[in-house]
Amino acid sequence: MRTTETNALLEVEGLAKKFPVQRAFWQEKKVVHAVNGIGFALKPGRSLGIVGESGSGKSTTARLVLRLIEPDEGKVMFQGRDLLKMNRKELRALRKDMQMVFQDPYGSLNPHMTVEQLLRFNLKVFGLDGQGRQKAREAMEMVGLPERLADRYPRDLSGGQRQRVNIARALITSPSLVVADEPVAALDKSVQAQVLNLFLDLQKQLKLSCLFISHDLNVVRFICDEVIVMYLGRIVEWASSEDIWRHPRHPYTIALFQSIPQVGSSRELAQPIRGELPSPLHPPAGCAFHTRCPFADETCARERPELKEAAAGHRVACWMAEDDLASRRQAAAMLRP
Amino acid sequence: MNSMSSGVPSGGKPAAAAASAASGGMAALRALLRNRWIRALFRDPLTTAATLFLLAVVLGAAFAPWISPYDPYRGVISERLLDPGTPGHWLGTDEQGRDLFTRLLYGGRMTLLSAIIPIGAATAIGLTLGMIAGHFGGWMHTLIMRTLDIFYAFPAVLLAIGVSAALGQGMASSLIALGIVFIAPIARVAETTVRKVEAMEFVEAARAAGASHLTILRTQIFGNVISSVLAYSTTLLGVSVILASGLSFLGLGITPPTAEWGYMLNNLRNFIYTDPWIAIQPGVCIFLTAISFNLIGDALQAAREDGN
Amino acid sequence: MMAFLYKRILYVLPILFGVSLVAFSLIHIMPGDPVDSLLGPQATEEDRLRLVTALGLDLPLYEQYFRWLAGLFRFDFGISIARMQPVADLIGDAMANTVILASAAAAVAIVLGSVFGTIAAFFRNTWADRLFSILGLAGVSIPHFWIAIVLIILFGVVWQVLPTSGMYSYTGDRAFGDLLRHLLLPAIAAGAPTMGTMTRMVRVQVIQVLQEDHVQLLKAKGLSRLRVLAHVWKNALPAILTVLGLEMGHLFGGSILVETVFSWPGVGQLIYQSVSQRDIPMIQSGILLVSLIYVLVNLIVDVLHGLIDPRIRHT
Repeated sequence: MRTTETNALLEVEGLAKKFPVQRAFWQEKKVVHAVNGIGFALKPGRSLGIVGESGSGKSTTARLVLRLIEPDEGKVMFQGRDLLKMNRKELRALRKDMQMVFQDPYGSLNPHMTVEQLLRFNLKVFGLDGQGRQKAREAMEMVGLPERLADRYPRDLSGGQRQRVNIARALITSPSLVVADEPVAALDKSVQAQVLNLFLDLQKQLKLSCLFISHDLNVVRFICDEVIVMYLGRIVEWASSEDIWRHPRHPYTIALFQSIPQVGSSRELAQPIRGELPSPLHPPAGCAFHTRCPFADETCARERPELKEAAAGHRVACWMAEDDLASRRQAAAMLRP
Repeated sequence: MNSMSSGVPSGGKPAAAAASAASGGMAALRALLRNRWIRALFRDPLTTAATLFLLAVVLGAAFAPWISPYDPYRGVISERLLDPGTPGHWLGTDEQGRDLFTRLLYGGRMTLLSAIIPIGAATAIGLTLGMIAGHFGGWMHTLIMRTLDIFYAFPAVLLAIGVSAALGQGMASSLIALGIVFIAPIARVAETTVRKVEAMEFVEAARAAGASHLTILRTQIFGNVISSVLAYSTTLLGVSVILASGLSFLGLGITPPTAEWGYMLNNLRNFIYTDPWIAIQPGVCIFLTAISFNLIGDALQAAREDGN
Repeated sequence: MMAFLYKRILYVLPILFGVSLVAFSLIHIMPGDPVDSLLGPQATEEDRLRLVTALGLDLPLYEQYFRWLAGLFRFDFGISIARMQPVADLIGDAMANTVILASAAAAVAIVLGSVFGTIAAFFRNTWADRLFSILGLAGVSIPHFWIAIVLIILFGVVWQVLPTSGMYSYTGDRAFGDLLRHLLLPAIAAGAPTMGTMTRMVRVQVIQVLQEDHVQLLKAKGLSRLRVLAHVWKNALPAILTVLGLEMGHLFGGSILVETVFSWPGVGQLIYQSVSQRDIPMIQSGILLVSLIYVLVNLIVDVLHGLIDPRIRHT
């Protein structure tokens, strides 16, 4: 999918990654297409959310974008340079500008390093540790961590505090891109709100560009300007979060919304989606969602829909969304009054 | 510091200095006693006995030249095979008339060396190999692990005998042989632990931060692997003692007339029937040392698991 | 299942190859010239040359290796330099004797180790537990050549009840009972360390299984102690088998020292004598054979493990 944003901070095209699955050497090699032809663009200062169930490929996408995993195909342009063409040294030097906030507050911090050591490690890697103590303190202040925690070990901190360390660590080298992989998924609901607010503040304050991975639509809606919905390794819908909220077009997106328990919700699918996530080893032919889609017809079973603009700035990969009129009728039929 | 002297009745500067040294020493002692590893060594009567015994062996070995009443290499033939309890030789004499107590003390040196040196070297080498294999994966992993498997395929005693015989006489060859024997098991433990650590997210975080392989190995992996490997190594100390004395029992790895427990046992073997209480002694020492190492190894292992 | 078998066997072959390489090269690092020690100082150059060619010692190393390897497949292990007899003959007998000893030692270790370990686990934290745990620890810490000596002193000198050397009495007619009498002490000595390991291992495994929920359930349901025991054993077996496989190697290695003390005519004693005689073909073959058996025993244990625990088959 061609994007027309030439001033994008991050541009991804045709990204693909497959993982071999093999029980024993005499069995045939099977393959899971974790990410299958993803393309998007992220402008400076904007935040983009990637939403999907587990197995949709969103975490893999995050790591591919940072080239923590090697993609099989595609292009990743960061600040106008192709990440995939760089050698190790150049890539490592570039990491200063693109950082990651990890999901697991317990596993992502080295248990033998204090908070200050953890923060300064990221500085030391790039030789920026001059006045490291001060920078570490400043970073801690920025994320709301009291100074007395600087000499503590991760085991002494709560989940929310650890995630703050994670965030501080990602920001300490003043990156232009931050990729957050389910940063609040492992936290209690009450703590989630705090950390999300912190995220929002920091993003505005530092004018960060943000790639935000989550399975939780509420979270993404709160933080992100635009949203991408992924299913079995492909993008099924891409729009601004306001648009997606007001007018979801892909049946899968609608189903995701439906699964959010909300008080006084008037948005429900007339027929719930059937079945379970198909095995990524044997994705269905045609549209990957057609086996569970209440509106699928033979076209859906035969041919895979491309991601196309159904309305201004709103792209969908669904045969049913092609015709704008048809889709409105569809939406009316899908939603109970 | 100065407040110390106000509590001291009289005597002036030297007394004050001694008092502050004493209180510094007390503080250090208290810190030592709070250390969980030290506490583990005294966790029950048996382990305490083991710790004290090893301490005695170490001290005996260190101060052997000053403690021992006789020369370990000079024997009076007319006084050979005296029973324990003979005045002047409270443990008796060996087949060449050398005082047994002295020989045992000096033998302790050899035994401690043959425990610590091979295990120390094997730990260093095994840890390095395990880290390389576990971190880099790929062909390096396969090469290292398969080569180790070959050494693993030999029974330890056999390998030790083979290498020791090949390298010739002398303590050095048995130390090298023992070191080689222990590299494979230690490297295996290291590799398993490294792979577990590699799977943790903070390693990925370090990579995402842009750290190089060496930095990651040094800062993230090493610290998290070393305690497991060391705990395993300490359990091998007892084995090393037994293997080493086994080698010298066979006449390998020792140059006579060095005092070494296994070697002494072999020499006295022919006198089992006539003077069993003499012949048995070197073996008792080996046994007690090995069991002490094992008890301590167990205690340290348990302490490590408690800390997790 | 067959696939599992093939995979395991395939895996073992390069290891066997490596073992033969190591066994071969070990001897060639040895200082000292075997020919000299054989012929003595009076030998002429001619004699030396003839012996060297006869033994093939003048060929380049890799050729020697392949000659040796080829010979192995024909069951030709070379001629013992010290005894001037085919190694194969000498080793065959000796190997049989060692197998007898090792099997007896294994039996002692398995039986005693299982019993001690189970008792210790069942009566956890009582005096019985302490007693058997310490027995286990002692077993592991005892140098087997020393306990051999102690046993000889006790049963051969102090109480003169058991024979202390050789396999059979000189006068006897190779009766089985006679063999057993001669076998008892060496078997205990050789098996002691393995008994210790097994005791500790079995104890840990049984404790673990006893704590599992489904076993608690069985006990709550009132199953007799014996039935619980049987069940526990079935679950603990895989782990125990693994340890057993590893210990087999130590049993074989340990037999060398015990054989020397008891003058038991096995491979261990053969190797020991060959080392001092610099009998290269003998040493090579001895080390190789024992290691081969060790690898094979491990393979068998592995396969048995796979048979019992279906999860292993599919890793």
